[in-house]
Amino acid sequence: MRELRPQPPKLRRRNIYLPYDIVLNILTRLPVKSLMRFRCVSKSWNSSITSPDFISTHLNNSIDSRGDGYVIHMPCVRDICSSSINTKRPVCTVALDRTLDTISEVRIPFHFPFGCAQIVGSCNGLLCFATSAYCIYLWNPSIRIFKRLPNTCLGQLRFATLGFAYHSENNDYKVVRISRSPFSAPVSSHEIEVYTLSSDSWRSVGMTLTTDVLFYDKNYPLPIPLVNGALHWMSCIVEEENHRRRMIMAFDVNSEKFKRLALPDGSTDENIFQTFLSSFKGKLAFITWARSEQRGTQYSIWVMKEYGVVESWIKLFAVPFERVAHCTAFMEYGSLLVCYINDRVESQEFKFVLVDIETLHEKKDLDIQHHSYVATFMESLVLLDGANVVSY
Amino acid sequence: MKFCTVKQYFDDENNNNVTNGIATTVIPLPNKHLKIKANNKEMEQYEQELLRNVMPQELTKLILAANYLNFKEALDFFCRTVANAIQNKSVDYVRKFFGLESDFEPGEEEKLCKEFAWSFEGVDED
Repeated sequence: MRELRPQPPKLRRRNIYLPYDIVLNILTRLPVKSLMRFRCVSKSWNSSITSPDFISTHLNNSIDSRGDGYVIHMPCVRDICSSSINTKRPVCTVALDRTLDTISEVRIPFHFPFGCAQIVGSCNGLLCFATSAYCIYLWNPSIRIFKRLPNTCLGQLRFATLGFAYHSENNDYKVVRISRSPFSAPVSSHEIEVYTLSSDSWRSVGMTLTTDVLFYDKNYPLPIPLVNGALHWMSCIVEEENHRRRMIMAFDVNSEKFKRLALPDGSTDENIFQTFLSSFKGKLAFITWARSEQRGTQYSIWVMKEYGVVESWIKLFAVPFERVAHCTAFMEYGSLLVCYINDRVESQEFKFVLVDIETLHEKKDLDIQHHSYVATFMESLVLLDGANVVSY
Repeated sequence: MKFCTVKQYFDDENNNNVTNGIATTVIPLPNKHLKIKANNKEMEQYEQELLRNVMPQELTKLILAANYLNFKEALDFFCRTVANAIQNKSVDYVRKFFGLESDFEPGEEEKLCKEFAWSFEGVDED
């Protein structure tokens, strides 16, 4: 490859060569499909495009210039992905986040040997998929690369819940698995292990030192939210005199330690059917579904305005429903995807509606018509620099 | 700040070789940029105009001029324009554009291309 040196504005007759740093400036603005192809231009281009620094810069560029946001969703119906007899692999759909209008369909490239696929989480265009906590995959659909995680380092997996996070301090990715002893066991205990992409291995971070934690809620069907560098699980702790209290357990991805966050005052009472944790515009959100004072039910959305400050919890939105409305997903920008069950018809019919939590405007006739896992999605080159990856 | 650099650019003896073409495109940029900075649509239209009237190779001259003038916004804008111009082009086109040659071992390039064959679909004809 010819040497590219910074050229003064003196022009040559034929070709004008750009300094390499400007070439990289141009490359970081290209879509991933072009970049994958241009890896074949030369050795140094291949090396640059697959370097962690380039991947980060490219990601930051695309986040800055991105107009619409996207989501990827997958039906969480058992029928679609059970048994070895059915070799059909589940299909994911990429859609616009504001309208859920379908952009494209993507077939999952790996086979799940057991049970039903779950989207654990999504960070920077990298998706984490799992089934029954046994088989975990990291997958970047936009560059058609995936990787299966090694098996657990713990002895036996029991009732596990998973969280997927980007570790910003190290520009790394982690999967956190919390396994719990069965309810029948005399003492509740949890084992926590962390997978780190850069070391491609699991590491036990020990049992929770406090045995007062009864369980870590899976937050089904929403992913465990990553806010302020921590994964947040709803849990229940046992206090003196066997009194039980709900509490948020925040796992800091950098220090790998738990911190407890109290729920908003007055947010929990007997009328609550379900609770979820999510994120709203980068802040931790606590969502409750409860019987309403008026007819029907209501979703209340609390937001922790100042992270870690319990007094900063504020109930920002209340979304009332006359009919029963099951929450399927919560969109980061402020929409609830709910499912109405039409029980007037004999065969139960589901109708999915996207509700803006601020205006309460409902968008019907959605492209999505199954209970689904929904995660944010973007194009990126993340995972290109990983080991043992499979391209398809 | 930008206008001082421009004046210095003209006073600098080394720049006698710069053609008028560059001067007429780059110099008006500060004004245009300031005017249309807020409006993305107009920037897009200006970009389309640029792509139509200016040959891709000319864009590299503009980039070099903007780089020399230390005019970051113009540099980023032209880089974005070049990126849009080449994004759907073939590997050969890009090599010619940047004046590069393949330095892969025989068979190495083929192997790589095969691995990401999907990225070659729908590419513009040269």
